Amino acid sequence: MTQTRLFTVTQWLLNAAMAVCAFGGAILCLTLGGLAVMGTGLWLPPEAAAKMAKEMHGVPQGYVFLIVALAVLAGIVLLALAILIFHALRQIIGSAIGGDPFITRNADRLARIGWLLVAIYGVQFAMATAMGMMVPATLKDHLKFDGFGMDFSPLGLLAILLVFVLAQIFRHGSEMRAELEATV
Amino acid sequence: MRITVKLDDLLYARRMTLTELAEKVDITLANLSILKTGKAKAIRFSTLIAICDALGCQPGDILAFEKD
Repeated sequence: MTQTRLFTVTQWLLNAAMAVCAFGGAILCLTLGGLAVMGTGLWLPPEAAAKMAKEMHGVPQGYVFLIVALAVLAGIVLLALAILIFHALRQIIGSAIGGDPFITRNADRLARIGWLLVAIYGVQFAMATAMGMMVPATLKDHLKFDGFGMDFSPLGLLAILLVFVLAQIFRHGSEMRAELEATV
Repeated sequence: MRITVKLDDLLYARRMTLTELAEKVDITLANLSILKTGKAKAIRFSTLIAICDALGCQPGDILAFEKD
């Protein structure tokens, strides 16, 4: 596979990933809207509300909706961050296809990707902490869900570090390139 | 502090145009123009040799060091 074809395929995959994220984000936005309406109890039939109250071991319905809404909101933020990462990556690949990837703008884009990855970690951490504090113990047992803890992946952190290092290398490369272009 | 290029003076003294010099040293007119206007960040020894050969001068005749 030639280099240009590899870039084109990657760009196509990134476009697809952005579309999937945008679609997922739209669904989550609709879900959030639905939760906001149902949270007020307007649209929930009385029998459904009673069944839910029983299943949720007495945890107020509004509180359950609030927790779910927060999780959905975090999902929307994470998808938006992912779209921004894919967009920056697509721009970098676009410049590589154009034959000039060593530009300062790409170094900035890579650094932005690094910070967006940090933001993803931050949102995950905030959500895990919030969920751990907000979800009542009875509900945790009932749902048999122990995924409220934050899972710090060393590989993920290494990837973030690598992106920042790569951004610096790109910055240096772009400076060298600019100097070479001004060499007669 | 900066290095100034005195190509203009040398060309005038030799009654030569930049285009003629570009043809003689086999460097593009655009690159020579960058050098002449002081926009170049570096100059290769090969370029310097070619210009010195074409103009019959020393590197010191082309470049000068200026203190602010």
